Amino acid sequence: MTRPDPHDDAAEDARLLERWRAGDERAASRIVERHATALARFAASLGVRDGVEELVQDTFVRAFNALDGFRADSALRTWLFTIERRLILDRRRAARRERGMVDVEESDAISEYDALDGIVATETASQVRVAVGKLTRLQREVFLLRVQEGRSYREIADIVGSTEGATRVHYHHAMKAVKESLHVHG
Amino acid sequence: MSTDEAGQSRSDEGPMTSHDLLPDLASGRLDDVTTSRLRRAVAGDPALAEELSIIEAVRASAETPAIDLARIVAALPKPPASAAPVIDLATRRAERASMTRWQWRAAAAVLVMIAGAGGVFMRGGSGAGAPAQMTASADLAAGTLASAVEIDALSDEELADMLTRLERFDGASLVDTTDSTEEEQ
Repeated sequence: MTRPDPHDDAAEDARLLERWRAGDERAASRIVERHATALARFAASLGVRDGVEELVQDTFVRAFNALDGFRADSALRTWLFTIERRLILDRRRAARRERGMVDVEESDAISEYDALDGIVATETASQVRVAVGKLTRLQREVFLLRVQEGRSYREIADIVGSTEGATRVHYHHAMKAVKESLHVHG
Repeated sequence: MSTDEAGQSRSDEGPMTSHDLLPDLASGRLDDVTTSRLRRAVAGDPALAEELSIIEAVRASAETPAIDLARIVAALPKPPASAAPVIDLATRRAERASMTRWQWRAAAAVLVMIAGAGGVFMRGGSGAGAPAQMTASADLAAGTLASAVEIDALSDEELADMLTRLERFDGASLVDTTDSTEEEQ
C-alpha cells in the first residue's frame, strides 16, 4: 500500500552496510547522504538549535560503532532516529543539571518551543508550529515522526520505546490538541 | 502496517483509519488506488481535510539546518575490514630480502666463529699466534660470506681479490693440517 522512500529503502541500506563491513568507506558516505538531512530536520523540529551537526555526527558515530547491535529487521533510519533521540534527551538532562533545574520532563514543552519558533513560511504554518510546540515532549516526538518523517506507528514505537497501540493513541491525542489550539487562536 | 483482503490497511493494533493514513498521503507514499480513495474521503470530510492541511503545514514549515556531510563522514570509524593492516607485497619482499642479508651475515659470522674456535681447540689452542690467526680468519670469512649475496654486483677485480682472500683463508687452514701431517710424518 505504501511505496518505499527511495532515500529510506531498507534493502539499499543493507547493501551499503554490507559494503562498509567489507571495507568500502564510500558506502559510509552514501549512508550519511541518505539519512543526515532527516536527522538534522528531526533534531531542529524538537527544538535543537545549537550543535545540530555535532548531534547528527555523534548519532552516526554511535551507530557505526554499534552496528553489531543493529537489527536488520528494522529500518536503518528508524534506528538512527532512536539513537539521536536518546542523545537529545541526554543533552537536555545534562543542560538541566548544569542549570540546577529540576527535571520537568513533560511540562517543558512550551519553554523548549520558545527557541523553536523561528522563521516560518506562512501564518498558518506559524500557528501550527506554536500548537505543536505546546504538545508534551512524547506527543511532539510521535507527531513529528509520523507527520514530518513519515514513520509508521511500529517504527515510532521502536524509536520512543513504546508500543504500537500507545504510539497511535499519542498521535491522535496530539492531532486533537493541535486542532484545538488552532481553533482557540484561529 | 499491512493490507487485508478488502484493501483495508491494518496495523498490529487494528485497522488503519483514513485519519491514520493522512501522513502517508501527504508524503506521497501511498499507492495510486489508496491515494484516490483517500482523496475522495478527504473531499467529503471537513475533519479529514483540516488534519491534512495541518500535516501539510507542518511538513512545509520543517526547517533543515545546514550540515557538512563531509565532516560527518570524516568522523566515522573505519570499516572493520580495513582495520587490518594493508599488506604492500613489494615492501614485504624488500623487507624479506633485507632480512635475508642480515641472516646471511649473522649466520656467516657465527659459523666462522665456531670454525675458528674449533680449529684453535683442535690445535690445542696454546700457541701465542693462534688467537690472532683465528680472528683474522674469522674476519676474512665473515666479510667474504657477507658479500656473497651481493656477488653479482662485484667487478672482476673485486671478484679476483675475493678469490685470493678465500684461497688464503683455505690455505691458512690447510697450513695447520699440512704442518701437523708433516710433523706426524
